[in-house]
Amino acid sequence: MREGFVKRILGIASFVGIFASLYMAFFYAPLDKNLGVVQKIFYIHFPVAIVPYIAFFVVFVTSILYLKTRDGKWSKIAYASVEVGLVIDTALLVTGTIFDKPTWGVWWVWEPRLTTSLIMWLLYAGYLMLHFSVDEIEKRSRLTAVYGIVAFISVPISFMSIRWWRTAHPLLITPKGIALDTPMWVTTLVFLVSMTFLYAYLLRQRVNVINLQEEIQDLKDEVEG
Amino acid sequence: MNYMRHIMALVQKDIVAELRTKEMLNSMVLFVLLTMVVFNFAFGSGSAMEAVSSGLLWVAFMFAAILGLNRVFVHEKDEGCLDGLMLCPMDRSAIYFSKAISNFVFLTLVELIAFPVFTIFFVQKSFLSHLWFLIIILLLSNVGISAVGTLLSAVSINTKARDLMLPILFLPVIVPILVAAVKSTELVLTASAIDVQKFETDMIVWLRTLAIYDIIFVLVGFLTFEYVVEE
Amino acid sequence: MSYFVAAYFAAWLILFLYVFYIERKLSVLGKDLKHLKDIVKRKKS
Repeated sequence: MREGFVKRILGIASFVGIFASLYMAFFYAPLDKNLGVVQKIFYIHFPVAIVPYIAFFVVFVTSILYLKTRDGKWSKIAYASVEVGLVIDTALLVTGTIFDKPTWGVWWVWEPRLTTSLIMWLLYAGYLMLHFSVDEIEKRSRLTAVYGIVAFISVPISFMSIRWWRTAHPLLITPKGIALDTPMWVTTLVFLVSMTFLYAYLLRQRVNVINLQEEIQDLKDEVEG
Repeated sequence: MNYMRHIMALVQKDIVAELRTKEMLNSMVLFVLLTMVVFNFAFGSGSAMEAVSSGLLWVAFMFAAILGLNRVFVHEKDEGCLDGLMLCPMDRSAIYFSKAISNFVFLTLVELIAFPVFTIFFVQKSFLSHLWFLIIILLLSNVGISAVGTLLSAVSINTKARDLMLPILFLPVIVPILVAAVKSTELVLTASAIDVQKFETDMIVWLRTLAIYDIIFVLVGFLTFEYVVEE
Repeated sequence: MSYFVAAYFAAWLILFLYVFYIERKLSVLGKDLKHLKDIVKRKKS
């Protein structure tokens, strides 16, 4: 029963939170003076930019925990977190490209944050490939755990190197320096929190899918054998 | 030091085995040369080529590295040699370090042969006064490539896809090395055109990036390798 | 304005498709599990 309770809380929190933050983004937050309505993309862009980092950090921690404890539950959470993180990262790349066009005039800027997100996407797409190309569960969990650790550690170094790569020869790019009023910040924070809830909810559901699949496989073996 | 002796014995074994066939070294060198020729056709020659030449060099080196890394564990795995090594009464990380070191040696050898050819093809200005920087860049990059590559090569040899897996896992992880190596090589190649102050500050940034990356990933490889090969 | 609409539409499309996919998978798997449990029960009795 506790299981269902947590799930319901997370589901309701993310549902209500997302609608509240959409309402706040559209009606509560004031219109930006320079960018106008386009600035409102920021409210969705920001949370989907942060949550993948949380997701992949979860992968990092659970990978270490798996290697230490050899408890299959950690590798399940790690895999689920990669998948959910990748989906949100995809949303980030899409909103990022759409956000760039009206603000900077081009669809894609090789700017540190956006580029790091793309590299992150590729890193964890590789994780999924690795996951699918090993059949034995124990071995698969071990190998993906090692890669989960390597991938996460490389993200901050990539970010730094890409930033230096740009600043080493100055370009027209400045950080997204949109000065935010208080209502704007509140909206952004509410959106971030609800997006995190949505991530937690999806993570839980994805782990449930894996558990159900396992249970079904066990029952099938029982029925056939 | 017993540990060191184990590593050196394994490195020696790898080098002797490779020198007997030279299979890997030959194909890596030829591959680098071919990549340069192909790039020349793709980008044309002259000033356009000069601007991207250090990038070209490192793309060629990276691909050659992948070629070599793919072979690191193939023989060991196919002939059951890895199982034998695992039975040896020594630390598993000794296998990792020996493989990384022999890979480092092969990669450096390939670069020693390929780099002069590269300068003949694509570099017009003299950079001999900054040659030392270039050697440091090459060595630091090779440490990083070998550290990460050996670990991921061991990962990918255990999958169904085998050598298809390695580039997919390796390339996104190696991005910082690629960026730092390309930019610092570019600095060396254009050293005569930029002032000393800028050269030094930029060079320090890139060498530091390479060094930090090396330290971190040698450590990560050392700590996680045993989980990859255990059976 | 069109950029704004496009960004929100695309982001929510991706997220909702995923939510839909997961929920659908869960319900299908839930049914399978129930079905299998019935079979096991019948076999035992």
